[in-house]
Amino acid sequence: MRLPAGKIVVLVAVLCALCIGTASVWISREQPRKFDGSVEKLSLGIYRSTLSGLLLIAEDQGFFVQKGLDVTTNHYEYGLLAIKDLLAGNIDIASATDSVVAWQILAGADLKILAAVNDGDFIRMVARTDKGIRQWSDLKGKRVGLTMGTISELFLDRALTFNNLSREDIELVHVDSPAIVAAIKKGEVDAIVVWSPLDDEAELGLGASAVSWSVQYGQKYYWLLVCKSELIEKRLHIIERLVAALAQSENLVASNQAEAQRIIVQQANLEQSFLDRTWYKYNLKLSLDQQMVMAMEDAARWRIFRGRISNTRVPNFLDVIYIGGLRAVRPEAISIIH
Amino acid sequence: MSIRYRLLISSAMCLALVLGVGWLVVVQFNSLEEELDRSMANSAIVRNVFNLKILADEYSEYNEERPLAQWKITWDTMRSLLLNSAKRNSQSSEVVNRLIEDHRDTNSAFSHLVGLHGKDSTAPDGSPMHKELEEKLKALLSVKLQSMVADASRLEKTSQAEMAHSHKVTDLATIAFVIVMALITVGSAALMYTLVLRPLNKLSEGADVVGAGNLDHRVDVAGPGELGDLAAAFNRMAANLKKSYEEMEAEVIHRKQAEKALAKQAEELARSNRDLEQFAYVASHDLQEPLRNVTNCVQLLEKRYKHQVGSDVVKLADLAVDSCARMKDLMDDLLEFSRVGTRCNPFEPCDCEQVLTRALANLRSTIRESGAVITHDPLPTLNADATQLSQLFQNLVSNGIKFRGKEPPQVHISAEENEHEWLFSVRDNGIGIDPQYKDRIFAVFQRLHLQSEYPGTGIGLAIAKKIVERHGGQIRVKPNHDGGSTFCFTIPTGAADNVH
Repeated sequence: MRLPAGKIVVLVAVLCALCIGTASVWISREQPRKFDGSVEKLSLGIYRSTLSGLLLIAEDQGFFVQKGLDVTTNHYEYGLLAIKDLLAGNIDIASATDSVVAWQILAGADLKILAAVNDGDFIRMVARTDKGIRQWSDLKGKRVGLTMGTISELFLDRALTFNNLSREDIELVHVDSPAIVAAIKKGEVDAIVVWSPLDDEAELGLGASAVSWSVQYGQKYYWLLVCKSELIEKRLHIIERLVAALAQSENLVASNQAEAQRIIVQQANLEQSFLDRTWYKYNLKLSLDQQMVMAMEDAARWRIFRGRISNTRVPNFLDVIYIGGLRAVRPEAISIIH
Repeated sequence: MSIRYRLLISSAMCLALVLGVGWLVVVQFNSLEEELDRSMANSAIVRNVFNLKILADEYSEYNEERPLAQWKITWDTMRSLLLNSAKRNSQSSEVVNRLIEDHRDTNSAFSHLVGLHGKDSTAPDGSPMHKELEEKLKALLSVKLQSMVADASRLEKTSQAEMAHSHKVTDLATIAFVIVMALITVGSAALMYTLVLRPLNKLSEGADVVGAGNLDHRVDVAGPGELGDLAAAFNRMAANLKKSYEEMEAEVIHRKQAEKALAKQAEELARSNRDLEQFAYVASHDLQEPLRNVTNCVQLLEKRYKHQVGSDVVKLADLAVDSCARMKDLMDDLLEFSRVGTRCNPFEPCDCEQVLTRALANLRSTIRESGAVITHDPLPTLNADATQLSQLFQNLVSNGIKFRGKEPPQVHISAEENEHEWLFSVRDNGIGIDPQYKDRIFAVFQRLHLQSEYPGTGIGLAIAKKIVERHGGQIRVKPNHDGGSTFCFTIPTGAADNVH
């Protein structure tokens, strides 16, 4: 079959247009742009788990480098240790729970909250059924291990109240989080209050003799990025770069969940099966919520109520929240009344 | 009206319609956008009222700085929202005014509550008066905020209803736009079909019919306009075409008749030629015997009665014998001439040099007696009747010898190959031929000289011409610059068989 010359011309024109269009799309697709300004050094204190997912992804994918940040990560077993290192001036930014941050501010620490990078329901009690524990009321007289000074203590205290128990009904034992799973497995304690992924590790270790339940009672807790005031005063520009890099991580989580999980499994040395079971609990998003402020005030009030602090006045946490970084990158993620 | 104007008018109408409906759609979309903005602003009012309620509760409960600060922020935001709402919600001005009033009252009550917890409070903290005052302020604040929630919700519902209505109108306008576009598309297609495609189809069909040979067909494209003109032009073209065709047909018939007549004449002529040749042959052949008898009788009479009759009778008898001899020569030549057409051989490849040698052998005594010098160039081999070709050479060479001048005769034969033929030249140094007789010399029994000067019947060149023509060639004579003549004849290289 022979095509008329006119049709051939039209066909060639259409093919040319397609080629040009494809080439344009190919050329104009989003390319990682190399940062052309001065590169800033930044040290982060993180806890390697899903909680720090956005930070792990940004580090793995080079988002920090793309934003002109030469990031060094220090690893801690829990947020309180990172906060202490931050206050000691060893790192620039720490990550910790809202309660720990609130308590430190209540105690007069010079901290500024930059953003929450995760929130959810991660604190669980794991108990041994062979010790006769199957429900809250069975905890009476039992040894409950937890890392004192962390959010576990706050949630346990409130959960005990909700279940008509008091701290005096149980024997609280301080166990550093790295040793807490071993403590319950050895029988040094009858139950533990831990955060993910230690709860999963403990349950797997105890096997059939394990029972677990949430101690949060629907109240979310936030995983926050905090720094000292001087970082904002002297190196404000890096805050925006940091938040922008984390926003890229958030985009990756939204667009390619499987890839995000793969990175977190690799960086936090987790099992994929664990992440598959617990992924729904996490909310890997940047935010500054009104509820976060209320949660921090709640933690501060609890601290004051427990009389562990000389300060009896809950501070105005709005004064320690720096919204400028997140507002510049993702303003819709701010729900704090400001 | 021409198609151009019709299309212009319809396009202008379509454009006006599209612009009109499009403008309506744009206006509706703007209205919808305004409704959306108003709805969002009213939603923000609702949200802020709830925030005020929560913050008031928080402050009442904990007496802390943060809810106080956020109350102020939220209250200021509310004031801006309500002022804007008063401008936008003219139909719900009563509700908005009530909201503004309640908003002012809530701030008053909240300020009192804050003042109650302040250092300058007139009622000491923990006193019954403080407690009673706090309870009353909380109740007032709660009632006012509850009223605001109800009004804000009402306002939001109103704006949502208006937005729904606006949405509906926008949808209708969009559908109308789509329908108008569809109608315009269909109308344009129909217009194009009626004004252009259908007449074009008719023209196309008409062209096919006319092209197939029906020149009486006419296209019926009614109405004025470019296509009407085109149809009229097409019909004129068909009429002209028919006229031309008829003229051409008549010409063809005329030519065919002429060709037939010509062929008939040619046939007649050929038959006449054949009859003539046959007649010449029969006459020359069959008259030989009586002529011989007449000659013999006259000679016998002269011999027997030579001495009985006078010298006059003898002279007459001699004259009769000479005339018979002359008549016999004429008859022999005529017979030979007629044999060129009737007694001929098929064309075969023959070497012209051998043919010439044979001819010269026939002329050996003539050449010797005259002292003639016969020369030739290399001659070709070609398809021809060798006998006739030999006779041709013989006639032309003997002609050159016979009509010699004072010089000993010299005859030179040459040949050159042209595109489709061989050109032979027989050049002599004889007396030459006056150019005015160049055609006459090839006629039968035509002579330019007296018998006494150059004996002969005058048939030689006629035979030569007939032989050349039988081979499909031509013969002519031309004078030489230095005296004498040159006879040129052509023999086609490949067409001799066809001619034969």
